[in-house]
Order: sequence, then C-alpha cells, then structure tokens
Amino acid sequence: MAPIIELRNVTKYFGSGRDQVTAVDSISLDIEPGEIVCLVGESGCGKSTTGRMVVGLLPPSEGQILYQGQDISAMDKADYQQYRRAVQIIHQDPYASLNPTQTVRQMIAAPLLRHQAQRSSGSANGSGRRERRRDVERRAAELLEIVDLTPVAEFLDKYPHQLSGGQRQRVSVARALTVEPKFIVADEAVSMVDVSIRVSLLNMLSRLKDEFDVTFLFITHDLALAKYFAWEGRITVMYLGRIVEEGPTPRLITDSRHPYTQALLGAVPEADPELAKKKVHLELRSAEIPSLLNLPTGCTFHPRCPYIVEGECDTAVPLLEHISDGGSVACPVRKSEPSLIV
Amino acid sequence: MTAQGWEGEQTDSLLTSAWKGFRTFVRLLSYNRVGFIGFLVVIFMILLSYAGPLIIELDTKTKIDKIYITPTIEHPLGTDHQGRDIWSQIVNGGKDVIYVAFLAAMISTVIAVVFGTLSGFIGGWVDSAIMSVTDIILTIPQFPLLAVLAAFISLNSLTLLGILMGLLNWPTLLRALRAQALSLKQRDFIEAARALDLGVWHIVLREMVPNMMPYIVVSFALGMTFAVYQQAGLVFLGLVPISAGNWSVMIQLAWVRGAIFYKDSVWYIMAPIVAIAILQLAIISMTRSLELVFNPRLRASE
Repeated sequence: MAPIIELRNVTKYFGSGRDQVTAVDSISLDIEPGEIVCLVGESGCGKSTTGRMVVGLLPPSEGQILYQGQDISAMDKADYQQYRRAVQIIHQDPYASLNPTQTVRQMIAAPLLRHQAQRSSGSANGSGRRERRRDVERRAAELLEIVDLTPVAEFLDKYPHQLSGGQRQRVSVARALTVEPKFIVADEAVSMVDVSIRVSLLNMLSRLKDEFDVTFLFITHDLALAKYFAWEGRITVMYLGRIVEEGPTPRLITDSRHPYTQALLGAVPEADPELAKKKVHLELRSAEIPSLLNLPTGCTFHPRCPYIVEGECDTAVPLLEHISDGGSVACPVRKSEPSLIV
Repeated sequence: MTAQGWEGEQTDSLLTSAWKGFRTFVRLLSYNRVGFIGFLVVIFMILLSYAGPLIIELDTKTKIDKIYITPTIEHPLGTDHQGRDIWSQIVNGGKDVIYVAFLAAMISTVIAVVFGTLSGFIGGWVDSAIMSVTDIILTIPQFPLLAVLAAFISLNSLTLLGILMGLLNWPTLLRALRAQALSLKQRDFIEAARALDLGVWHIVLREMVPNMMPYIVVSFALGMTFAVYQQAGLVFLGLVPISAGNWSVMIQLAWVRGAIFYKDSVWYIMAPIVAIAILQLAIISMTRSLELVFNPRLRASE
C-alpha cells in the first residue's frame, strides 16, 4: 500500500546567518495507512517541528512531504484542501489549544458548519437553515460522545476554563474529528494531562484508530508512553534533528541498538523497585545536550556516547542502515550488537 | 437526552435570550463600582440628549430683558447673551456631539480591527502594504490637516465631519491591534483553526477578535473621548461652520460673544464645558467595567 504520509529528506532551518539553527536535518519517514508511528526524543530534537510540517503549518526548508503520493507544496487548491482536512493536529497544551472565548458547542460547530456548507453547495436542494443547524448539532453531540464527554448536554455550553485538562484534550480531539481526518499528529497530546487519566486518553485515541481508520503520528518524549500506545506500530527515535533509530516497537524496546535509544530506555522510571534494580543504565560521558547552534561534527551523539570510536564517530555522519531484526539504526559501531537492556 | 439539550436551546425566543444577555451585561458591569457609575452616567447623558429634546424645546427667542441672568427656577442654568435659556441649549446640544464622536470612533475602530488583525495574521506583503499606509497617515498631523480640509470642503454636515475624523483616527489603534494579532497568531488554537481550514475571515473575526475584545472596546471608548475633544477644538477655532446649536458651538459662541468678560456669564460658558467634561469622565470610567463584559470567566459564572 502507498504510504499516507511520506517525508523525503525533510530539513527545517530556523533563523538565518550566524543564528541559523537546523531543527530537522534531512529526515525521511514513511507512514502506511492504519499504522501508529511514535516519534520519540528529548525536547528540542525537532520532533514537534516535524509534526507541524506534516500538518502543513510550517513549510519545510528542503525536501518534500507527500500526502498519498502527492507533494503538498505542489498540490492544486482542491487537493490541498482535501489534504488540509485529512491531516489534523492535537496540541500538547490543552490550556492553549482551545479558544477561551468560545463554548464547546461553538468550537465544534464552526468546522462542521463550514464543512457542511462546502459539501452541500453542489446540491441544488439546499435544505433549510434550521435543518442544517440541527444536523450540525446532532453531529457535535455524537462527537462528544465518541470522546467520552458525557452527558453531552453538560459539556456543550462550557467554556474551556470550566473544564479539566483531560476534558479539554478530549474537546481538542472531538474538534479534530469534525473534519473526519485520516491522519492525526498527536503532539505530546497527553504529556500535560494528569498522569492518572493519561491511560484513558490513550485508550480513547487507540479506539479512534480502530473505529475511524485514523493513522497516528504520536509525538512524545516518553518512551514508556510510546511503548504503551504503539506496541503494534513503530517507534522512531530522533536526536538533535536526525533519526538515530527506528523499528517495530517490540524490537526497539527489547533490543535497541543505538546508544541513545538505550540511554532513553534506561531513563524510563519503573514503578517496581525489583525491576528498577535490574535495569541497566547506560553511563553517558556527558549529560549535556549540545546546542543546536553549535552541533558536534560527525555523529551528533558522539560527545556523550560511551562507545565512541575516535576518528570515526566524530568525523562521518552515520547513515541509517537497515538491520536484519527490523528497522534501521544510524550507528555503524553498535548496529549489530544486541542490547544489554531488557 | 443530548438532542433535547440542543432543541431546548432553540426554543428560547429571541426576546428572552436578548433579555438574558442584557442581564448578564449589567451584572458584569456592576462588578466594578466606578465603572458601573460611569455606565449609568453615560446612559443618562444619552437619554438627556436624545429623549430630552422631545420634552424641553430649544429656546430661540431673544429676550433683551433677561440677558445673562443667574439660575432661577425658570432658567435652571441661567440665560445667554440674548436672554435664551441655557438649560434648553444643553439638553438640545448633546445629540450632535455624541453622534459625531460615536461615528468617528466606530469608523476608526472598524478600520483598525479589520486591517490590524489581517495585517498581523496574514503577514507578508499584505502586512507591509497596510503598515506603510498606516505609517503615512500616522505622520500626518491630524488637527492641521482637518483645519486645512475644512477650508476646502464645507464641513457643514455632521456626518461628513464624523467620517473624516474616523478616517484619520485609526492608525494608533491599528498598530496596537496588529501587535496583539501577531502574538495571538502563535497560539495553538489559531493553529488548530488553520489546520481545520476554517478560513481567514473566520479566524480573524471569530477566533482573534473575540480575544482582543476587551482592548477593542476600551479603545473604542477612548476613541470617542478623543473625537469629542477633536470636534470641540475644530468648532472652537471656528473651522467648522456648524450652524445648529451644540455644546461645541455653545463654547465657541460664548467665547466669541465675550462671555469671559462678564461675571454673570460664567454659567453660559461653563455649562457646555461641564457637560462635555461629565460625558468624557463617564465614558472613561465606564471603560473599567467594559473589559469585564468580555471576560469569559465572568460571563460563564451564572
């Protein structure tokens, strides 16, 4: 099957001249319909920038982003509008992603109304305004039920400040669903929500995947979340704008190859003290993340990597190479060494 | 159950929802006492100027025996240089002042809101074009321009005066609103609206403007006060030959007729000045409350 979203050597610079920063450095990624792909990395690694480029909110500086095989920067108006609606984003901060001056009803009705007007503009029998309005209202109620905001009547007239973080995030999801998207970028969608309700939010999102055939790009800094949400999908690990390792979730979690992935896995806290004791922590040579303004030469991870091979890691940029166990790794030194961390 | 929630909403007649809205409006205004008093005084001034003339007729009869008399029951504010009642002139003279100020503030606010927000939101060449025009208008000294214009066009129509003032007063507000739009543009909910393809006009008018509403309303009120002084100034200098009596014309007439030279004529010159001052003070106090009206946190707490 053709990938629904395809990134080809996508690069994004910010600023210019001496202050130029490469937030995303020539990454390529294919996402098949129905797949769940997690983009994992620490803050500042370019994962959110990637997400925003996929949604079309930021144009890439170089490279192409393809939606269903078509370059989004070269689409005609009709195709672009289709793409525009098919790819939605759920933001990280539920306090900033909802307009404080609108009620839930208004937020959900607006895209429905606009959408409906455009859909029915072709048909001659323009159903009455009142009827259209009722349609929209019924649909809004359905959407709120899908995201588990019930009883619906209680939520429709609420303003964002009257809702909890989790409820707001559900409203965001319902709003994204108004346009029947095929692809959703969830940018740290649960990281600002209370820990106790993260799981129910995640479960709601995976239900959407099954019921509405939504493909997810799940962006997170938390490998534990990625592991939970994308066990059947893939994880892509980014470090300072580059992809360092990717592969099917089970392989990446149990048998990671890139030292950075191993370090991330070692840093995931375990609730069980027995497990925590058994965990192997990879000792990094430095805890400092290099500045994007002054990136290390060669492999950007070499100043921190315990497996550094002088003369090789600090000169040549490692390429992503396929490995036989699934996925690919950008580390020629460790790519065939089985992981110590289980 | 859910469907009932929707339809129940619709059974509210327009009148009931308007009444509800008005009650919420008054409740929010009353949160700030100074602002609420300002609001009441503004209402009083509007009633006085628009309903008052129906009851109190403008006194136009010259009475030589009653020139510059001090207040009596018959003439609560005394009489002018021709023995005409000042109170009746005050009652009849507010309408024009308020009308011109409202018109001017309305036009300049609409221009500033629409183009300021568009400029900030769209950016690029649209932004450059709008900002160049703004900067040009901003550098023109308005008062002298109006004075010069008055010499070429006969500004005998109040509406024309209001429109002219409105067309000149928007640049400062536009710049402020553009700055706000620039910061709002970065917010997640605007990004979400863009991703939902809601269209530029929806984003500007429904997502951005409501979030700037407190600022816009306050600016509108201040724009009105500015326009009041501007027209009073123009009339006082005699640049706008408006024949009908209004507060500005009264001040000018009093000045020209040498009211400042007579002890008893203080009522004549002070009456319109105080009327204008009260109106201005009331509008400015009211702004304290106006911003509360658009705070969704307060609005929702029924």
